[in-house]
Amino acid sequence: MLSYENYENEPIKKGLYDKITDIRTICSNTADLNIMEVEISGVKCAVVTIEAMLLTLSISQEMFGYLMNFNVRNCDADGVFKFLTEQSLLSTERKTVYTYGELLRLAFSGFGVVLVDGIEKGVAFGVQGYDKRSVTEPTNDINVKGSKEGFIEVVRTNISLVRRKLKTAALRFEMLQVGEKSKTDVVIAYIAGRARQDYVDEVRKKLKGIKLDTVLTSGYISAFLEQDKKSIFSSVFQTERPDVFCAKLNEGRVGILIEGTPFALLCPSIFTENFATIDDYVSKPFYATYIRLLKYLCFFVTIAIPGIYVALATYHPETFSHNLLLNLVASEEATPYPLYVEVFIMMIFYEIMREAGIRLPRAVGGAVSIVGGLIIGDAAVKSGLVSGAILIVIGITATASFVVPSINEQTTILRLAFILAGGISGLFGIGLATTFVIFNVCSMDDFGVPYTAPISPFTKRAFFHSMGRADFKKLEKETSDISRLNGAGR
Amino acid sequence: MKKISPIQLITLLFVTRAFLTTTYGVSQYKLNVVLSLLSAMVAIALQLLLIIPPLVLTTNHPDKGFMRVVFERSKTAGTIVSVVYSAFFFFETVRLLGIFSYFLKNQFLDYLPAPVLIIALSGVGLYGVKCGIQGLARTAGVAVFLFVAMFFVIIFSVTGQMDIFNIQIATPAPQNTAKAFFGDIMLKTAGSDELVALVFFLPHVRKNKAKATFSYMGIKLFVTETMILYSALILGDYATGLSQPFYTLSTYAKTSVIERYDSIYMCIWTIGTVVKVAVLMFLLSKTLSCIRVKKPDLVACALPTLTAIILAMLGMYDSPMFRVPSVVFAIGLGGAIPLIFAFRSRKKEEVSVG
Amino acid sequence: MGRFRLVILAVLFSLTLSGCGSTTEIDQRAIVHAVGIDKSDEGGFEVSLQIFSPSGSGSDTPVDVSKSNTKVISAVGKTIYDGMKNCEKLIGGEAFMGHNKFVVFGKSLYDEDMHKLLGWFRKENENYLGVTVGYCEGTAKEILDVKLTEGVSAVENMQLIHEYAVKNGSTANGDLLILFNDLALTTKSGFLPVFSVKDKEKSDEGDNKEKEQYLEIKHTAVLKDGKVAGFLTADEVAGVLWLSGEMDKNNISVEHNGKKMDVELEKKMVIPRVFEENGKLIINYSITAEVRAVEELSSDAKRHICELSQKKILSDCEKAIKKTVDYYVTDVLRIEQLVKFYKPSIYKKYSEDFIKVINGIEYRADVVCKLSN
Repeated sequence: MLSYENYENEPIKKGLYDKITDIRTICSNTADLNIMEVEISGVKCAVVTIEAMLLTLSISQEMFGYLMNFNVRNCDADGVFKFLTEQSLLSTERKTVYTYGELLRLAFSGFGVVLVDGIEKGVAFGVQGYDKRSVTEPTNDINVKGSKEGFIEVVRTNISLVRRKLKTAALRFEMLQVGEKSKTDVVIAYIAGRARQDYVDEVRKKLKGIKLDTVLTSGYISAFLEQDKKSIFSSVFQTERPDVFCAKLNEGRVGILIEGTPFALLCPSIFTENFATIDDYVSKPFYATYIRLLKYLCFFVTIAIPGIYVALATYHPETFSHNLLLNLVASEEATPYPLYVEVFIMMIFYEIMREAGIRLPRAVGGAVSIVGGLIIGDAAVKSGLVSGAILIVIGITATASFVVPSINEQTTILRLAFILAGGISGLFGIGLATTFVIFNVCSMDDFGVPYTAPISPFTKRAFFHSMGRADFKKLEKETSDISRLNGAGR
Repeated sequence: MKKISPIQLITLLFVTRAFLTTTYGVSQYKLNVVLSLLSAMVAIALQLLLIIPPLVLTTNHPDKGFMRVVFERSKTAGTIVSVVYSAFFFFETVRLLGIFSYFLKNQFLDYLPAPVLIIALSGVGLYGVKCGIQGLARTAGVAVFLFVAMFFVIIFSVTGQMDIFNIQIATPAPQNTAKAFFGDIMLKTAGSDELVALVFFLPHVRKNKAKATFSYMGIKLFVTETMILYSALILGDYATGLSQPFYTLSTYAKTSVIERYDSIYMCIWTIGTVVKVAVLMFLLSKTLSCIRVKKPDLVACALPTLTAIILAMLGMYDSPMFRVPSVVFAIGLGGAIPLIFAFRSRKKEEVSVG
Repeated sequence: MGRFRLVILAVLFSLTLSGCGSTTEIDQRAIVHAVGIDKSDEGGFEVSLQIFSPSGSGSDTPVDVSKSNTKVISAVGKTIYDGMKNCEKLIGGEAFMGHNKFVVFGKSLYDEDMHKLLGWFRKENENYLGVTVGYCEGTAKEILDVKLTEGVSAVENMQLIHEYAVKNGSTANGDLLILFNDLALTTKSGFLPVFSVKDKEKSDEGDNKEKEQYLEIKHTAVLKDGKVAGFLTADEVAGVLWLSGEMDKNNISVEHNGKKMDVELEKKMVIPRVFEENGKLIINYSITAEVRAVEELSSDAKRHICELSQKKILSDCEKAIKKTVDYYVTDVLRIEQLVKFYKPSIYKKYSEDFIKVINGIEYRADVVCKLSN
C-alpha cells in the first residue's frame, strides 16, 4: 500500500482516479493539497497544486484560461498530453514527471502539475508564486561602496542574481535535491574551464552522499563538504553577496546555492579570504592594502591580546614599559580575583551581552547595549570587581572581532583558549596554544588546496595579493586561480 | 608520496635547527670571536659535504623514501638501519624535551613541575605528528616568520650598543688552540640533527632539491655568524661561558614599547621547539613503523616523554642523555649510511639487463 | 576510548591547574625601582629597596602623580642575597627585580671588590643587564629616601638626572653590562657615577621654610681591582668620555676677546689606533667634534672658537690620561681591549702583567673641530 514511506519511485498510474487516490493517500489528505478535476477538450484531467505556493492570478489567467480554451474535436488523452508538452507555452518551465516522488517534489516546490486520464505521466509547469523576501542589502556582509544586493531564500532568484553578473555561457548551474524529507533544492555553480572538474565532481559526490532528513541552512551542507571534522576553521566559505560569489567563481571555486537560506557556500576556501572584502576593490590599492593589514592585526588582537595580557601581567611583567606596569599594579590592587579570572569573567560577560544583543527585539537591543556596556562595565570597575585596564583590553578585543566577522565563532573560542593558556603558564602556554592552532590550520587541505596557502606553502604573487590589493592593471594580466597556488592539487 | 615545496624544506630545516642555533655564541671551547666565526664556517663547509650522499640517493631513487630504498636493498639492513635511526631520534627527542624543560624551569616557570612541561610539549608535538609531513612543513613555514621577525627585532634594537673592539683576537687561548678549534667544529656538526632529518625529507621535495638544500646551508651560515657576531659585539667578555648568549641578548634588547624581549623570545622558541619535537617524533614513528611497531606515532610520543620525565624527576640534567651526541652520529646517519645506499645495486642492474 | 581520553584530559587539566595557585599575581609583587647597598655595622650588608607603593585616590586614578608613590624598605643580612630575602620578609612578598633601574653602593663599600658585590646581580635572572650602577657620597639608603616627585615614581627623576648628565658628558654611563666587561679586564677597572643628596631651603611666601631634597651627580668614581681608587673632576670625566668614544655632547665655556662664551661640542667620530714607533707602543686618538656657538659670530671669531675648543678637548684628554693612567694606574680607557684588538701578539706576550704595558704606552690625540652650519 502506498504511503509517505514508499512513494518515491512509484510510477504514476494510468487512471486519473487512481492517480488522485494515490496522491491523497500518500499525503494523507493534507490540508494544503489542492486537486482540481477538470475536462480539457473532453478528456478528464486534474491539476495538483499546493496552497499559497502559486501565483493565483497568473495560474488562473495564463494556465487555466488557456487550458479551458483548448477544444479539439475527437481529441484523446494523448492529444491533450501532446498539447500540454509540445504545443503550448503555459510557463517558462515545463517538466514531465514519471513518478509520484517527482510529482510531489515539484508540487511542493510551487509547480502546478497537470495529470491526464490514461497517461502514465504528468506535466509540471513552473508557476511559483509563494511569498518571498525582496532582494535587499545583506545583513552580515556589509560593505560601504559595494553592491547592496544580497542573496535571498529562493534559490532561483539567487541563480538570476549570479547570472546577471556573469553573462557567460561557461557559467553552469546543476540542481540537486538534498535531504530525504526536505528535498531541498541545492544548486552547484561553477565556471567551466576555470573550476577544476575534480572539484565539481567531488562537491557533487559529497552532496549526493548526504543522508540527512532535512537541509534547512547552509551549515547542514558545509559540514559534509569539509573533509577534516576536527579543524577549527572551516574550509567552506559562506557569503550573502552575489558579487563576492561571482568573484570567487571566477577564481576557480565551486559555489553552492541552497534553497531556504541566503548564505551561499564556496569551496575550496583559504584562510586569507576571510580578510578580503569587495570594498577592497573599490578603494585605491594603498588604502585597500592598509585596511587589509589592519584586518590581520585585528585578527591577532582579538584572539591573542587578552591571553597575552594575562600572560605578561601575571608571569612576565618585566616586558611592560615601566609606567604601564605601575599603572597596572595600582589598578589591580583592589581587585579580588586573579587576573585571568577577571579577564575570563569579563569575556563571558561580553559574550552574554553579545548573544543577548542578537536575540533581543530591536526595540530593546539598544537599551541593553547601553546598560551592559556603559553602566555595568563602569560599575564593575568602580566596585573594584575588575580593573579599568581589563575593560580596555576587552573593549579593544570585542571591537576587533567585528572587523573580521566571517571567523567570529573561531576567534571567540580561541580567545578563551588563549586566556586559559596564558593564565596557566604565561607565554609558554600561549606558545603551545599558538603552535596547536597553527598545526590545526596547516593540516587542512580540503580539495587538495592547503588552507594556509599562499602563506604556507608560499606563493609569491598570491601572497602579496592577499596581504594587499594589487593594482587592476596587474590583475588585468593575470586572474587569480586557486588551483594554481603552490601545494594545490592532488 | 606527499610532496613539499623547496621553500618548505628550507623552513622545516630552519625551524628544526633553530633550537640549537639560538644557543650559539662565543665558543664553548673558549675560542675568541674570530676563531668562533671561522669554526662555524668550516663546520658548515663540512656539512655541505655531508648533504651530498642524501642528494645523490634521492636523485638515483626518485619518489622513494630512504627506508624503502634500504629495505629494497636488504631486509636485514633495513631492520638494522631502522633500529639505529629510531635510537637516534629517540635520544634526540629525550634530549630536546629535557633541555627545554630545564631551561623553562630555571628561567621562567619554576612553579610548574618538569613532567607537566614535558607532557605539554609532547602532547602538542603528538598532534603535530598526526598532521603529517605537509602539515609540519606548513607549520614551519608560518613559524619561520616569527623567528625571522624576532631575530631582526633583537638585532636592530641592540645595534646601537655595538662595540667593535669586543672582537678580541687575542683572548687568552685555550691550551691547544688547534684542538679546541677542531673540537668546536665537531661540536657544531654534532648538533646538526636536522641533517639526519634531511635524509628523510629530501624524497618529499617536489623539485630543486639541491638548490633548496644549499640555500638552507647559506641561510644557516648567515644566521649562525650573525648570532655569534652580535653576541660578542654587544655582550663582550660577558658572552663567554653563557649557554644561551642570544637569549641573554634578548634580555638586554629594549624598545620604547617593550622593555625586555626575553619572554617573547621564549614564546617563539617554544613554538620552534614544539615543531622540532613533532618533527623528531614524526621521524621516529616512521622508523618504528619500519620495524613493525604497533601504533608507532603513540609509541614515538610516549617513549621519549616517559624517559625525559623520569630523568627530569631524578634531576639528572647532567646525564649523558642530555648532552649533544657524538659527531659520529651526525656524520654516520646524515652522510655515511645514505652514501652506502645512494647508488643503485649492481646485482639488480645485472639481473634486469640479463 | 573516549572515556579514557577524557580521563587523561582531566588529569592533565588538574596537573596544569595545580601550578596556578603558586603564581604571584601582579599586585602581589613588590616592584623594585632601585636597590641601595651599604655595609652594616654587624659586618654584613644593609640592603635598601625602593619599591612601588601607589598613592592613588581610588580605582579611577590608581596612581596619584602629585604624591610620592614609593617607599623604602631596609634589612640587614650577611650577604646581599640574605639582605634581599630579609627585605622580602618585611615586604611580605616577592621582590620583583625586572624593573630595577639603579643599584647604588654606599660610601662604606668603596673598599669592597665590585666584582664580588655584583655576584648576586650576575646570577639573578630577572635583573636587567642595562641597570645603572653607581656609588653615593653618603649611604645608599639616603639616596633611595630622597623625596623626588616627578612622574609616576621617584626613580624616573633619578633616571632623568643621570641620563641628562651622561648625555652632557658629565658622568659615566654606569651600565651593568659594560661594568661586567670592564671588571673582566686584567686591572678590573671601572668608571661609575657618584650620587649625592643635597638639601635646599624651599622659600615660601610665609615664614615656613621647608627643606627640599634633590639629587646631584658631582663626582665620578674610578675603580681599580674592583675598588674605588679615586674620583675624577668634571674635566677629567670629559676627557675619559672623549677618549673612550662615549661622549655625546659637552658644554664648555671659552674666552674670546675677553668675553666668556658658551659652546656646545658634539662628538662626531673617535678612532683610536695602536701602532709601534721606535720600539714604543703608541695609541693615537683621532677625535672629530662639531662646535656649535650659542651666539652669532664672525668668521675670525668662529676660527678662534674652534681652536679654543680643540685645545679644551686636548687638555681634558691629557688630564684624563694623567689621572687615570699615571696617577691611579687604571684602565678606564679600555686600553687592554685596544691592544688586544690591534696588537694581539704584544698582548699575548704581556698579558700576565699588562699594567706595565699601560704605563709604557705613549698617548696621543688629534682633535679636529668643525663648526656646525
